[in-house]
Amino acid sequence: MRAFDNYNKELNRVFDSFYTRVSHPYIKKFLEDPVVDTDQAAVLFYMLKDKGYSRQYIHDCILTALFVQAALDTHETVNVHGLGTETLKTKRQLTVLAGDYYSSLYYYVLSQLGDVPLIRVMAKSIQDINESKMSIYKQHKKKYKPGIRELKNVYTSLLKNIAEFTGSADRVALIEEFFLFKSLLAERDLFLDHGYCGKALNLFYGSSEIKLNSLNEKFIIDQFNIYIEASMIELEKLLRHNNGSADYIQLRFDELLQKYRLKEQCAVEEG
Amino acid sequence: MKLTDIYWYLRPDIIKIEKEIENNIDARHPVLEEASSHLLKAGGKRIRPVFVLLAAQFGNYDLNTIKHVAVPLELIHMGSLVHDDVIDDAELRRGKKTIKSKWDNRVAMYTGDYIFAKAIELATYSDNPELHHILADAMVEMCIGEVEQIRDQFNWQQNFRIYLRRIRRKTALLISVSCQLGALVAGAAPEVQRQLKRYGYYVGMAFQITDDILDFVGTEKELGKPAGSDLAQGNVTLPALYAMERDRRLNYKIVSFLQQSGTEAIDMKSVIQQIKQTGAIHYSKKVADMYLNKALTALEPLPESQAKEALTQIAKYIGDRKF
Repeated sequence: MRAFDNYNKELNRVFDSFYTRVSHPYIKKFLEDPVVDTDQAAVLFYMLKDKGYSRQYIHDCILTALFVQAALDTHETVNVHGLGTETLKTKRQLTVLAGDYYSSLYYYVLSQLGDVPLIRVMAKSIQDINESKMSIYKQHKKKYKPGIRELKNVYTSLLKNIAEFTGSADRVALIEEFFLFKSLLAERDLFLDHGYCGKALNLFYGSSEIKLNSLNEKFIIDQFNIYIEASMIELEKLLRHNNGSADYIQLRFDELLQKYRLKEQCAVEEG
Repeated sequence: MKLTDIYWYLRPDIIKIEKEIENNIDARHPVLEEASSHLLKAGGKRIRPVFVLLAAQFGNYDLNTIKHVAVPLELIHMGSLVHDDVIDDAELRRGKKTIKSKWDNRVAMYTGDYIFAKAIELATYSDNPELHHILADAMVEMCIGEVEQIRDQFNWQQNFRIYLRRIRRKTALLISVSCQLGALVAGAAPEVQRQLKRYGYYVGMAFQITDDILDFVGTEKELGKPAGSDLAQGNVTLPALYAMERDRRLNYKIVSFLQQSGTEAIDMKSVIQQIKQTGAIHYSKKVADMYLNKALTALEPLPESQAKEALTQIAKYIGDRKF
């Protein structure tokens, strides 16, 4: 196992830059700071490090990817209908603007560095992701039938495009599968724990307007399990074929798998 | 005279830019494509591309180069309109249903994000890296400006400085950047770029102040919304700020309304009347005229040309515009 020696130090530097830049006193009064996916940052870190990129480039690339992800995630939380109270209204307004603000930061940082090609990669990724999000959200079965590919795209397009751009195309399949697996587990947990209807659910069910009953609940959990198991098999296969350059993913996969198995076991025992 | 009459000779190029915009919002997904083109079909003055084209005429005018700025700027404007309609919960824009109203907030968010990203991608096809410094800086500033507009809503402790800073970010910045970038990508001399940037800034300021005046002097039919809507929504603009300083009783009335976050009813007709009686409209007009004069002064050192004449006419048109 490779030592994850500088991982925390280097990434904490990125996270510090991230939280310093996204912080706006008025937004902070109403909204929580965006949550960073540390796996996303770590995968990028090792991928770029292995390719020999400079410390500064790695920092800037991860930082701007985190801005993009924060913008996308923030906009995902804009409520679909209704205004509610004045505070909720202000929250909604600031959610829209905070997402736009985070998005402008990736452009700003990369423009200061003069990295126009990476700006293009980020901009194209945002388009890809929004295309896929729309496919899942507004399913158009005749013209455009979404599949698991769309879901993968939503969760991994940014990393995939950066990997290809920085000469790590050989890792794309593994990265895609790992983040799909992780997202499916997270959505399944949210559904089991809170009845939350996420993107995967929308894909399985064809609509976000779901009235839950015992029948469709079972159907949904079965669907989750089918996709999770399939992803797991694929991920194991990809990890077997990697030549030691994916230790971090292997480690995280083992952790997530253990958690998943434990939850499954509890569910069986509880009947 | 209509605004478009001023730059009639640019019509063929404006049509080409329109076509470019249309071709570039060809999303794969039907709803995304429809939502994007829905906004395009709603029309608009395309004033930002017009400023880009006019400013570019002070350098080497080549539409194939200029389009890398003209198209992104209009798309950024369009993207911000889509998100603004979510922010304002607006049902109609230019008499047509907004995206958030025709579909919902989520579709509007995806569409706006897609359009913004498309704008930035298209800008990367220009080979001038300085363009991105200016454009990215403007985008950050615009976002901060919008956040501050929300913060300042129903804030009765505002002053002229806060108001001017707000409209600078809200309107003047993108017009200023349109003029500056048009000149930049056409390779105009740095001094010309600076003058055009100044011109755009002053015109933008005058444009917004005029808009804020019209909100008090227009009829519902002319405005497409009830007169005094800005104030009713808690946005304190120049005429109201001036009037509040001049008339203590009116100040008390407006402050009480703002302190209640607009939840208590206010007789807007009488408030508008009182605002007018303080001379606020006349004063605001004078401020707008001051900016227009500065805009015209910024044009003075530039060489005589059809573009300079058009920019002069546009400034005058803004000063005279009724709606």
